[in-house]
Amino acid sequence: MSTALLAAALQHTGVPDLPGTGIAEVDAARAAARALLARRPTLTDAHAEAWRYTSLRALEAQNLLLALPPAAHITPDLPPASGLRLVFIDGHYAPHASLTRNLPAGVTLKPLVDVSAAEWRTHAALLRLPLADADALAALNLAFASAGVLFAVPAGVVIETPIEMVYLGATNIPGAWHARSCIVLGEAARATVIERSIGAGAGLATLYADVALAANARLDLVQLQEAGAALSLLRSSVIDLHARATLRLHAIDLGAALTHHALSVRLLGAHAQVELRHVVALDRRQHADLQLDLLHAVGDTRCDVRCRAVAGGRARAVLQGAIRIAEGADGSDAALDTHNLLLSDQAEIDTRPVMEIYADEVRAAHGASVGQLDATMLFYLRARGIPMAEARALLTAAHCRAVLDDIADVNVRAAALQALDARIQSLR
Amino acid sequence: MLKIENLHVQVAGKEILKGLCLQVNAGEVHAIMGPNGAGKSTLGNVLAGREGYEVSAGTVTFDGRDLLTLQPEERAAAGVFLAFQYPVEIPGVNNTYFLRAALNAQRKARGEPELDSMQFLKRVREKLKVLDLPDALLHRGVNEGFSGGEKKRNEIFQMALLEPRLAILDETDSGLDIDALRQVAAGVNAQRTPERAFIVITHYQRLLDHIRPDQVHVLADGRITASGGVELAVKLEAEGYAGMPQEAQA
Repeated sequence: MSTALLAAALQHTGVPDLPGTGIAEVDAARAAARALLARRPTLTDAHAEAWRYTSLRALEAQNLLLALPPAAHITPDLPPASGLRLVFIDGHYAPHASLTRNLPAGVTLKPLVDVSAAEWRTHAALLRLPLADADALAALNLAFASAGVLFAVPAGVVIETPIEMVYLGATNIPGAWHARSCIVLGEAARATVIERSIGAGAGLATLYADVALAANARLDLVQLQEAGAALSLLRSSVIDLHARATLRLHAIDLGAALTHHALSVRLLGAHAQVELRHVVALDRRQHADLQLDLLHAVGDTRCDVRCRAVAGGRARAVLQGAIRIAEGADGSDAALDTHNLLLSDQAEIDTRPVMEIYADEVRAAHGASVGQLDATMLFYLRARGIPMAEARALLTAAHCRAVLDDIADVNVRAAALQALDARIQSLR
Repeated sequence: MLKIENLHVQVAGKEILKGLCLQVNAGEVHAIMGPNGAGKSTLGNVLAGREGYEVSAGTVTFDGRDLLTLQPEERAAAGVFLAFQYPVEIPGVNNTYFLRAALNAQRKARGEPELDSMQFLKRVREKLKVLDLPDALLHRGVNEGFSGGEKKRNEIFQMALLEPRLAILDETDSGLDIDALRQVAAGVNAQRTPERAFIVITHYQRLLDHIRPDQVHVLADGRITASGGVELAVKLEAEGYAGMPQEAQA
């Protein structure tokens, strides 16, 4: 599916009504995105550093049309919601499976289809291409996003219950769907968001998220990805933190055939801080690529990044972790560690922590390792009677759990650990 | 119960055990003493099935079974327990989960019903009391952040919980102060039954003041060079290993 082909196909088949159609700004942004898309021969620039380890050639060879709305009677088999929930099935909002009641006054939580003209204009991020020189993938998402959420919390409001966004695949018929979300927390606002990708799925999905945290705001964000085994999930997130804002992000990649996440975090105000935890557990021919770009734009900011990957079969996990400390951002405190396990001879883990430091007075530390399960630990467990497969699973889970134990919400943490354990039990 | 005949073991191509013979019957406590590098820990590890220990000759039978053909977990289920000289810390594996997984895996392998949470915790609490270990230990990672003494007591606690037929204590006394030594010895003595046997590997006679062995063996250069009663340990303490025979006893 070259992008020119995609554009031609869409002209031929017509595009179903997308959220916001008829609103001038939305139509104009989409038209610009489609024009950009039509000019590009491929979805990504294969020479770009961010795509060094991940090829979309196989995906581009497919003719992936937009997924149709699912039959209305599909009732997804979801675990009980621990708070509020918006569900999208094959890229389309499913109100019958969602729960959006009893929000505090002033809070906006709605799917794109319900976003008003005024809200599209206020939250310009919904229509922003993530990069100045946007690639075709970003344009594809902007041009055709049917799913996604606007979540805006006014200053001072604290939302205790987690907000859940669920992207469910209901069919294994190859298709494409696109989602873009905007999360805005006002001054000193607080919220917990869990984003789950689950179910079946084949073809292509893109997820774009724009997150802005005002001064003193705090967001606990958990991205739990258990997508269908034939899906390619391409994700791009831009997260801005202002003074004294805090982000705790736990990203857990367990499913999908291929994932690529371009994650950009910008610390824009003093004493802003981010704790990022990433876990990836893969087997067969799964491929997961995290491209982290974390910027300390000003001084007295802090980041703490910890990544754990395990790969069995012929899987490949990639972490490109770049932390940049801008000139004058003195007093920045940056730490990145990535420890990874290879469970088979044919698995591959590529990990590249990179620190670019242009300030004088900073603390910056990084560590990286790729190894195998510790033979002494394995023997200890087996010597107590635990069979080999179970002992390996216990140690593999422990390796990953070390960075998930600090998920603040107890129900969210339990769900994440349960998903992790189930995945590790099934790793080959 | 355990019969070792002419056991030769190599580690990284170097022969460590050179024809070791030993017979241990149910209910007996055998102490193995010997200088550094004699092969004492090799004996413990090879009996528990650790990788990297290559048996080049000899046989080991345990309750009539060829022990050397069994995987480490099969040996554990058969009733072999090794108290490690250096218990490994396993962060992220909760102690309670580990103990229950171990106990139930052994029970399952033996065709016995698995214990539910209530039955398991009742049993754990009973055994913790004997070793004077705090409940908090259960909520931590396996051996994580334990002091040296706690690690050794935890080994004996695990032994009490798993109720093996043959327990091999590999220098369990090393690094213990006198109070911890007494606690460990009390834990071991509480487990002595006519059905259970012990092999106590140690450098020093002081442990044997608290755990009275039925037999004491001197292991030197890969063989048992002397065997006797507890008086042999006393003699060793007084005269050192230099005064002992260097050749294997017939």
